[in-house]
Amino acid sequence: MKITYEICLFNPNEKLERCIRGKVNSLLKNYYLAYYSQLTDDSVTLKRIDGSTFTHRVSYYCSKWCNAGYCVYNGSFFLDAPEEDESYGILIGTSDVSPTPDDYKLGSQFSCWCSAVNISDVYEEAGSLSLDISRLFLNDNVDTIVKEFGLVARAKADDTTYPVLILRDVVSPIDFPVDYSLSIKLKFSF
Amino acid sequence: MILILEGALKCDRNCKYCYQKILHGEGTLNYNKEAIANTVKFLYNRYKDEIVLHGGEPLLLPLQDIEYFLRLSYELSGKSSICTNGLLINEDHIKLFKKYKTSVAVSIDGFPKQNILRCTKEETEKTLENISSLASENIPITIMIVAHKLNYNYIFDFIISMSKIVKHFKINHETLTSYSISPTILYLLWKKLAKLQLLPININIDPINLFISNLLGHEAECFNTLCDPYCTQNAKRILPNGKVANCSVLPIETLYTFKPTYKRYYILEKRDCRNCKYWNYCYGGCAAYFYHKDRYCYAFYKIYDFLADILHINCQFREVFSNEDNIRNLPF
Repeated sequence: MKITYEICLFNPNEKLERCIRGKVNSLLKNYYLAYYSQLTDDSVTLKRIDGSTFTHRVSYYCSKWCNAGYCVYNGSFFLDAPEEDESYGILIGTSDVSPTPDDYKLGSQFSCWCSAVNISDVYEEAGSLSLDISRLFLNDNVDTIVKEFGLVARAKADDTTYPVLILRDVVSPIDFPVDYSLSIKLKFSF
Repeated sequence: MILILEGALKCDRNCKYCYQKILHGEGTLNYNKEAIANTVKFLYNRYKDEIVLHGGEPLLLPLQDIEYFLRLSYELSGKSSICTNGLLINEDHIKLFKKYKTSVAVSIDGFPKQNILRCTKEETEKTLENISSLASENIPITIMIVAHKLNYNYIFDFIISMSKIVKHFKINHETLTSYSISPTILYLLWKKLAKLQLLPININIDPINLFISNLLGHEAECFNTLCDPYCTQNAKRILPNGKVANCSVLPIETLYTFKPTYKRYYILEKRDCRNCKYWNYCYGGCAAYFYHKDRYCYAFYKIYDFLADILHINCQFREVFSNEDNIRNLPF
């Protein structure tokens, strides 16, 4: 799977100032564990963004017979954070500490207004299947420099979900003054 | 899997490729409820298998008999399951499904134009409406799609379209008629669906998940296991008289022997499947081919190759799961 990012800065008049693009290299251990759980129905231990751990198991059971059977599948983890919910979805921060596989939170999360996370339908492009996940941030806080972004999913644990960081990357610093907006798009392709 | 009346019950559809009709005739609406119930209890107590009310079309049964079988399953296992073409689903059925925690598998091959081997466009639209009704009541749904020449190009779009209300899909492939697709086409379809499955979206596509789970060292079921043609452990069909028969995809109807011999696998390992690197994952495919490997061997081999490559290179499973023998011993 290839993941790329596109970060664009817009001035208060919504005019595009600059964009940076690159390849995401840092899916985290949390992601692989959750993914493994989804593929095998095994329980795994994930680390929440507060550092505590919990047992995650995809809440599905499917009998693997080719013709029918009992099946409940409600999903593994969820990325569709609503507007102004900074507890999950795409998040931004100001730390430039290099990511490690064991990261469980952003180095230094920056708080400002954010849109709902937009998840596209899967589409075909040049022989690949792709999915876009994007979010818009409007700086209503203080001038800052964005240096990192992350993707936090809500992962199932029995009847509840907990936020877990599944991806974190450090990027070239982007000045993010008050009243400017920043869009981040992650593109997952296979 | 304990399959009540599978392959023996009458159906209101006339699917052009129906393996049950081709292999076992038109079916019946006469059955011995008590004998079937006794067999279900015996099998469940012995194997703890899933219990599925099958057909033909089980919704042709009188409502009280549908309830009888769903309740029987619910009392034994705490849940129940039914396999239907979805056309006859009404409010009374939905009440029963909610009451007995029923998972509903609906057979439909795609949008109305791609479902014409099963039924008319109007009937397909009605089935889609019924699927929406089930979804709105939060009843677990599986959409079962048979891949054939008229729909294989549209299955991906159909899954994407339905994925807003249905999270689980099973893709089977037609094998008995001129509508069957080639192994190469099947591989290309599986490959596309594998890419879809591996994106971070919350849907579940069988058999892709089965292949992956199998590669990761987890026990598979049905094809890709040591399924004995004379003792098909994953499909124990209960006939109208309460007797137990083997899986209905076998070209002959035989009674269940309760004693697997694995003769098929001794032969395949030395002959058709000799030196195959996926032998321990595939076992020659469906036992309906008896002492030969699956006709779709090419598709199985290629999809295992494709997925093994992805799991190794892209996901670095070995690094993350360095303590798991099954991961370390992946066949590449």
